[in-house]
Amino acid sequence: MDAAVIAGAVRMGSRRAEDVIDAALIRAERASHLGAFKLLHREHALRRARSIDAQIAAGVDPGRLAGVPIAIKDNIAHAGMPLEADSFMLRGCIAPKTATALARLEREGAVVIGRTRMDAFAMGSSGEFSSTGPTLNPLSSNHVPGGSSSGSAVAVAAGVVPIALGSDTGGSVRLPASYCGVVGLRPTFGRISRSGLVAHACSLDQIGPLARSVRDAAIATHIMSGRDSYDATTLSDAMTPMDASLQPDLRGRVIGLPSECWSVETPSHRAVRGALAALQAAGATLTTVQLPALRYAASAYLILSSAEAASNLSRYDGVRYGLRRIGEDLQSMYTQSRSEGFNSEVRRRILFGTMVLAEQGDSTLYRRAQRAQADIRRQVEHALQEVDALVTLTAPTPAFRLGERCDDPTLMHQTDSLTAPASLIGIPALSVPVGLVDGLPVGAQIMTAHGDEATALMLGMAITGR
Amino acid sequence: MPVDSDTVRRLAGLAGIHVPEGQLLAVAEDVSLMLHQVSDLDTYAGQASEQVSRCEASPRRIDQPDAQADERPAPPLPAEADGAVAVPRVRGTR
Repeated sequence: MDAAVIAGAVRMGSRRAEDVIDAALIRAERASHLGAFKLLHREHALRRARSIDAQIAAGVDPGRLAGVPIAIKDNIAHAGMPLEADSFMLRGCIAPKTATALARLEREGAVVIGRTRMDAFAMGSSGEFSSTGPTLNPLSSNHVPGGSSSGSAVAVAAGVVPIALGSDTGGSVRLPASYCGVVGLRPTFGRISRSGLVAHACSLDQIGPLARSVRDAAIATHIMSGRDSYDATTLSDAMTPMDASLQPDLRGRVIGLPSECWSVETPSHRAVRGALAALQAAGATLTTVQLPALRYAASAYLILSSAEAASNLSRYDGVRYGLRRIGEDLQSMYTQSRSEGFNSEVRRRILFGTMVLAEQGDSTLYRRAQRAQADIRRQVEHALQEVDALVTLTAPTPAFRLGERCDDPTLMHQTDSLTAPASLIGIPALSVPVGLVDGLPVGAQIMTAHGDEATALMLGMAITGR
Repeated sequence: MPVDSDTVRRLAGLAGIHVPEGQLLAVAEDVSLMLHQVSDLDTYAGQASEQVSRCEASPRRIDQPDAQADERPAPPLPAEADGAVAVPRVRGTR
């Protein structure tokens, strides 16, 4: 059931929030074999639900998400709850405050039922690099759910919650949304405060919702958005109220198809063509655009995100946070704590990022990546002056088999190739399910101009009908 | 291999991560592979200016004749008539 329907029933008094939350907790336990949740907050959630029911009884409106069960990724702070980014390094850390984005959802009556598994420190595209075990794709338990917001996508796809929070650095909301057949939105950079989000790469990180419908993703984003004094990168301009803009009348709208992303013909491409036909049927015109710099996005992303990760994660030294291993001296304590606290994927990226940062000269990897980033921005922004949106696949292929790419980093690296551009530019990108290939979901990615989530959501509505 | 064991030892020291002697070579291969993954940027600066200027022409409408069609391969376009839309859409099916 969609969040809007649940909240409507609770606000009207036709359903008790406690019953809604209890039912969600039962669904979570029944779906435990999928490994979506790292931790369920049974008592906390039921207590919150009872307080919402008490508000209703007292004639107080609990808000637009009254009694709606939600799940949150393990890198988003929730006061008094563990905050471990699904890593050994942060095992046992307790959040001292609630992330601004989550606080805004709670203020509207949402109830957190649990924390979801993820690739440790949000580094991974498959959901296989969690410290608490892999998460399984609910449509095929032999396949990955996508990452790094793996548990959040699975919690939504399995019908446990209508909305879950993820974070997206290079595609970590959109990829699992695509692999699991749900909606995932990476909003404009700065749209949602990152205060309370464990940092991976600060110039790229964004919190975003995963949902069963475009409408729910829109409601959650609208509630979470807005200026936050704890995050200087948040946007000050007001966001278009999304509920009003979800009318799929696309007459006069022009959709751009980057030729670089449509030069091959795969079953996934054919699935996205179905979505494009729906947009045409609603009045949109299709156009090809050339964006040659897109082919460098995955490389630029790997260089820039690894450099930022190496810098961000230098704070984990065994002194201030999490795991501490006693060594012979201070230096060996640092080294042993970091070596045991980070998994192999995180260590790999830190070493590569350290190499990037240690380079000197005018033609370093970092500078070349920045140049590519600037060119991608210029080309995409120019194209988005001519068209309303760009549409591509979200991922080059449907979900792959568990373990299939763990030993093939080159193939794993390509997983991000279509999601990296929007991350590098900071524009909104929405993944919506468009069909199945061999029983596995395929997602279409809709990218729009900076600040224009409304158009992406409207197109998503036209494709999915909800 | 562009990254050797000595380089890994130096990087590990900078990053505060212990890499056992027996694993130096494997980690060197891993970092070399990452370098290879981004090698498409090795010659990037030379290609960008020419390609960007080409891009900055207005995008082509599908229903308009393309004067430069012979200069680039025609991308497969969403077709209504050729029956390519074979995969069921989500709309109305969930």
